[in-house]
Amino acid sequence: MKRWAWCCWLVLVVACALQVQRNTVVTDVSSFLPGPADAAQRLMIDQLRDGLSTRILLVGLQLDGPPSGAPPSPLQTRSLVAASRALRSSLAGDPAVAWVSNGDLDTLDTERERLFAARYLLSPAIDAAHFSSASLNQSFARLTQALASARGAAIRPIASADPTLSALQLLDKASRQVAPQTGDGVWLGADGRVAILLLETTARGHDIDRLRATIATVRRHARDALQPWPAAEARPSVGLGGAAYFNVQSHDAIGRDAEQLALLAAALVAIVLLWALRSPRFLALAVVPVATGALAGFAAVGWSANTIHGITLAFGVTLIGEAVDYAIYTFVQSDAHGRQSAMFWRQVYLAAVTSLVGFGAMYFSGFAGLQQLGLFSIVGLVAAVACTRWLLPGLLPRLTPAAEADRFSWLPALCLRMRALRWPVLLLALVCMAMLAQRKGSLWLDNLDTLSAGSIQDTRRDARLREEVGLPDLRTMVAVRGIDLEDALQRAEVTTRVLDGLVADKLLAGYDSPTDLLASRALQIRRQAALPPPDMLRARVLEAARGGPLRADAFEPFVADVAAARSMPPVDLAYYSGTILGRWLDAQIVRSADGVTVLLLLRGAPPVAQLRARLLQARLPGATLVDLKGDVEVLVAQYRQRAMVAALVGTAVIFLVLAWQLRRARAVLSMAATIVSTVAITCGLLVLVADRLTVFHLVSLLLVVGVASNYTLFFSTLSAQPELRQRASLSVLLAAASTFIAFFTLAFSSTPVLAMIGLTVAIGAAVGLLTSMVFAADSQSG
Amino acid sequence: MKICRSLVAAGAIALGVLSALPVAAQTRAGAADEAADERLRRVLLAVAGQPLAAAPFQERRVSALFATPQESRGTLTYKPPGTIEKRTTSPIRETVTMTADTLTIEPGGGAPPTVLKIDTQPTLAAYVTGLRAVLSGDDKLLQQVFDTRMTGSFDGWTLQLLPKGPAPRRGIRKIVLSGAGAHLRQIETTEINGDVFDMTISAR
Repeated sequence: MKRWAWCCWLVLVVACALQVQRNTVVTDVSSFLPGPADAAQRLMIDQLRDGLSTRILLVGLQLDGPPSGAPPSPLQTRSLVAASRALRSSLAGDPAVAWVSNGDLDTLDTERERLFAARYLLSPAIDAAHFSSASLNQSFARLTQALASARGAAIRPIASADPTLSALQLLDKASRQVAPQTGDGVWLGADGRVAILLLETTARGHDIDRLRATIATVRRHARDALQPWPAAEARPSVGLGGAAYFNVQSHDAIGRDAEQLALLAAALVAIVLLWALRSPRFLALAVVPVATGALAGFAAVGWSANTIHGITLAFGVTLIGEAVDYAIYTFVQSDAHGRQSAMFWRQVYLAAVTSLVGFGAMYFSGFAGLQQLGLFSIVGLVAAVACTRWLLPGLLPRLTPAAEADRFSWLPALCLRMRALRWPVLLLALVCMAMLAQRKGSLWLDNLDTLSAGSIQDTRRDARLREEVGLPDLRTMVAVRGIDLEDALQRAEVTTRVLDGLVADKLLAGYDSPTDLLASRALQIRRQAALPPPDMLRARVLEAARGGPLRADAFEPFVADVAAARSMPPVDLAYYSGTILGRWLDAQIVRSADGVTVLLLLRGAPPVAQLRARLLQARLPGATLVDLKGDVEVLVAQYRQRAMVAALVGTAVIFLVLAWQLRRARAVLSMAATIVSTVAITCGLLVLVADRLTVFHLVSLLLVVGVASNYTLFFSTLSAQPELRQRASLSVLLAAASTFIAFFTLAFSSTPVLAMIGLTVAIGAAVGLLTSMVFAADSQSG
Repeated sequence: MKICRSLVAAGAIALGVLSALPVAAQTRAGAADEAADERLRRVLLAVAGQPLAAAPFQERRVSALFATPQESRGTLTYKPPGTIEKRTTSPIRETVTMTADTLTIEPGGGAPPTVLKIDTQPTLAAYVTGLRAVLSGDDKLLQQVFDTRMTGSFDGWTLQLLPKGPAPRRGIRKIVLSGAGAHLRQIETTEINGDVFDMTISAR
């Protein structure tokens, strides 16, 4: 039988190892989110995962020095500008960079030329009336005035080709999109101490390895650009920002956590077990269920989802705390011949089932990331228990009773004395519940920002750089869907009219619509039809100029350009290929299987609720307001409620299973007291430590319920025989200690999700051990 | 053999002479530069010493767009350390205040002013920087932005400015200033499209 078991194990391990090799690891928070329920949520999650914002990288060359914001010396400013230009041109030539801007308008000549050439198809001012003699006459009067003014300087170079000034507005708007405000010709920040560059990576937002390589490349270019820095001056530091940077940071942090914390937790648990049980052989054998469980868990997740989340990987740490428990129970509770009673195995199965119910609740929460964790834990635990049951028993060394008796003889007495604390513990639980009830309104935090690993310093720098370059808030946008690009653009044109109204009402600072650069084909053709033929236009120019100071024949370039616009093919995406404008447009047009969505980016901090109401009121076809941050909060809150239901159902099932097995009213009552007070006190302590609770705390409480019910199960079935009593108590104590150590280690993770889970279960394991001792209802309780 | 040697010697002498020539030329040019620089400094110092205070000007613009030259009038004021105020009274009323970074245009009749960043207006940037450098006597700034050519004497000088670098060159081809001693009399600006405007400043 033994040989048969080991053969099965070997096959399992090899199969799992093969599967694990093929797993790819992902770490973006979005893939941890619940699956999308509708098209709008799918768009939102796609944007979070792979939208333009995930490919934006901000580079700041920051002059270190007085934080008072003292203005830089002229030499420093000159050097910063030179470094900014050098860095821009070297980045522009790098294949890892889709486009880069340092705010320098000189680098945007191609973009300006394309826009100028297409002005009569793109300018909102173009209609038939625009070219009437009367309208031209007014245009000429305005032009004469403008040319007499200091403002004329900007107009003079283009006046003969564009006397109606239709290109100005267009150029203004477009150049603001890619090169908002400049100082000294390049972005230098408000205090002039930081040169800022904005770039889009060619790597997709979820391709962490390529993003990491891109970041290294950008840093290398920045170092090279700072090489010629004057030797006497301190070199600026290179700071990065943007979602692409943060995603890589958090990915690497999770990877570090997974490795370091696992090693640390394993070492600490090993030390404790070695000290308590003095059996290196046991320790070596205990690795079998733990490692097999982890391997099987990873394989199962990889097999079902193809990818494995970094958080799940790091969560593997916790299996050390769970799976080793069964090995401890088996070792410590075996009899003098190294055998285990049928009663003992029944208890182990029962303990495993209660844990599985908790993990099952995680699996059914509907939260993609939690499903992964649930699946990982279920498979891992089953594998670990199977290893414990069929591989370990014959191989475990015998416990030396003499040594045990002396060192842990105080344990049963302690357990008995703990029971005096029943009323104080119940009181404490009540106090905690009262506190939670009082904070009901502000108990939950559904903002996913808290889940990314960016340091506060990084986040602040990022916010500053964004503000300096006037990057629109890429997380608030109006999404307009259509059956194809043309349909979406036409609908977007209707939407912009409503947005213009919102801008006029000062509800919105402004917006960037793809229709500014790419009007719908229908609209462009309408504009083309409004353009008069050359002879007619020439005659009208002559008529309009009559009596005024302007010479009609000076406007031949205008007549020629209008004639060219009449016959030019409507502007399409290809018209902008190879320009920054083209890249920018690409990012604002999202294609899916059932249509095309265009994204209108909103500037300033828009009041989301009011905007949403106004958009709804306007009944715009296909238009929805997407507020990535707020929508994610709503989504998370929905799933938190679902997870809450799952948790309650899970707890109820655990309770029913145990009640059915114990069948003693006294034991069932004590178990209820244990579970309820464990959860209440753990929550109370969590709120004191973490202030607000998240869905991840909630789900971790399921683990706590599973753990506490395991402890109470053993404590409530203690034998009357002193030696067995002591052994059972010791096994629970050690199991709790190893769980506590593993999860407490996880609490130090720099990845917030892991830290939350770690802290919750560590507190829960400690509280659960104490309460299960306090409320134990074995044959000796009275 | 002998012939060979003398050939080599002749070649060496020729090389020496040839290589010495540009040095001499450079030295002479350098001396001329220094003299011109010195004159430039002297003129600028004098101009800066007597800041313009509401000096009447008359501007005449010759442009391909207009059938006849366009004229405008107003006053020009320089407020040290670097603010120029150009007040136009005809044909439109407008006050333009130019500093190192910004250009503020106040239309007559109380309409709100427009503030432009100089850097975003290449044509204006060259013009304003040149004018500011001259009026404040900042020869370093002037030579940083323009290739300068000073001709004439202190009592009748002409200063030609050709924009350096990519951005200013887009708008302006050249600026020619002339004057007598501390008195800046005329500023003639030729734009890239061939428009010329010619500002005559009267002495008070």
